[in-house]
Amino acid sequence: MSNKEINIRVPVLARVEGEGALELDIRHGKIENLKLNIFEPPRLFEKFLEGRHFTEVPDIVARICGICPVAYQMSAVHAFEDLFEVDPGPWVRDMRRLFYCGEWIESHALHIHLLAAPDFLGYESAPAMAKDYPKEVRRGIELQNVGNEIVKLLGGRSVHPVGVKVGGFFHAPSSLEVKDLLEKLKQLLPLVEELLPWTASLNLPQDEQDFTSVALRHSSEYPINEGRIDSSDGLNLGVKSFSQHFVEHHEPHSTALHCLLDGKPYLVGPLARVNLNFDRLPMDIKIPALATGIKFPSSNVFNSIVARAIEILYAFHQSIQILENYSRPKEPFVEIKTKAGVAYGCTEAPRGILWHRYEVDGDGFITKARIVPPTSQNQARMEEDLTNALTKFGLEQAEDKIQFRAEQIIRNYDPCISCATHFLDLRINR
Amino acid sequence: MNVLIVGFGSYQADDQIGWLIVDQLQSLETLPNNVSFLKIAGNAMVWLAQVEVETQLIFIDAVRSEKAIGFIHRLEFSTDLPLTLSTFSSHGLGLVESLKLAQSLNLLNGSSLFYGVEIGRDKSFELISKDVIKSIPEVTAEIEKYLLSD
Repeated sequence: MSNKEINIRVPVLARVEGEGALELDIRHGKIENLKLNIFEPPRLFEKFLEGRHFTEVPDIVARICGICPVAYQMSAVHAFEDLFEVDPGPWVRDMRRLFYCGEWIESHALHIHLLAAPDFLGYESAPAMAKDYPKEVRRGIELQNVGNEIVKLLGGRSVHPVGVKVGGFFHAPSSLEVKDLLEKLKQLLPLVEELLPWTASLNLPQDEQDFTSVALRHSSEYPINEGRIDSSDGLNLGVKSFSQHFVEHHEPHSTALHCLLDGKPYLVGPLARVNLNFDRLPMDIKIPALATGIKFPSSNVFNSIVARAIEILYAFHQSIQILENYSRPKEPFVEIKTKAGVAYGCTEAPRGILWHRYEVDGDGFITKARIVPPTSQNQARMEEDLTNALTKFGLEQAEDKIQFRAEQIIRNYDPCISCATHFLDLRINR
Repeated sequence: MNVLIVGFGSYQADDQIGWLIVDQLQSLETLPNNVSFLKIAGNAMVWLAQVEVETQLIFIDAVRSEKAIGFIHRLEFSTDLPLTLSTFSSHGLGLVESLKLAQSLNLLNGSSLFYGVEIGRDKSFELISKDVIKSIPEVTAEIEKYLLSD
């Protein structure tokens, strides 16, 4: 056993949307203290929503995230429509699925190519990697762009879209817009088909761990907007019962709440979704996924990058199918009649389940709101993963290697808070 | 040589200045036909997907510093890109990172120009500032002169 004492402090996770840090103390060959400090000031969105009319909520919650605004909008509209007992019909359902596919594509393409891949190919950044892998980086940019275009088609713009309303959309795209986008998606399909084997060929660390996966599960399709909450431990819950098992608590080192499932950490996101829903993927997605040689469910969280590639392929196929069958409706929304009560919604954001709960008065005003985002659900799992993985990696390793592996582990989760970029300004106290 | 003029902006008050100047440039009949235009909201990486061959880039955006409203900032990015300009964008991928990516992909032709107009108002219910509007002919004329002299 080493007597070496290592104290790693990453005081600011720089070049990120969120603000966080990593604190790691190793003593006598063991991790004595490990904290993923999230110190971004509380953003108070739940409080902002109080007193607002339900019609304002989709635009307000879209502002929570620049990368996954669709997820926030979708969890919100599903919550209100469930409370108001409104079914917007098959056209809206299809368009919401398409809208969400756009977000999955742009978010996953960004993460795979520009954030995670440099870690596995030995580069410090995407621009450095681009010199040797121009084709792959270009692919990431093009896929991210077409994902954004799908979001823009229905949302009016790709960042903080404004096209969503409770009951449907404000605007139905024209057939010409749809045709143009469909052609673009078909042109890019070969790039997506080569992406999955490429991610599986990366030099991913082999780190099997025991963890619980949590995701939505739909009766017949791969989950995006609908489903019950499932876990790899056999949990099967309606969305309204989330709070019976999932409890958020405050940790002094984090301004983001930690959410635990029956007191334990758990994983949400693409790997958890694929782990629990591989059988729900269509055969034309399953076959290339099986051809990678990776068996799902997988207990290696580093396979998340492969899961993202599977989901991009799925989202592409779904988008093409929906656009091929597109017809413009008379009205892109249905009218809403409000009623008082509690609204619950849960959808699959790119990074995992996103749960909303709203208390609504008889005039449709919000009296209380609660939002549980994926990153707060993954936070405890990330700390658990860091402890397990770094111990397995070898605490005797050089400090720069330990730090790099720690950053690689965190980036692998694509956390929205630190947005998986590179950590800088290391300070080590011996 | 291809030239791409990118206006960053939104529909809100002074923040629309990048789009307004692009509109103005686009309406000119004097510009050569190797010049194309793009209006972007929010995501600084979007322009990169539009560039396939070596291109000269001209960016126009709203800026907030300590200068007077309407002040025109002019920057020229050569091959030595200033990473310190990188600040608070999604995933740390802002304009400078997109330029660095373009540089790695051999898509930059010559220096990239950046015009920033100092703004004040940025709320959707506010009107665009008069001093910001005054910058439109000046920036437009300067870019036109630059493109025609090339």
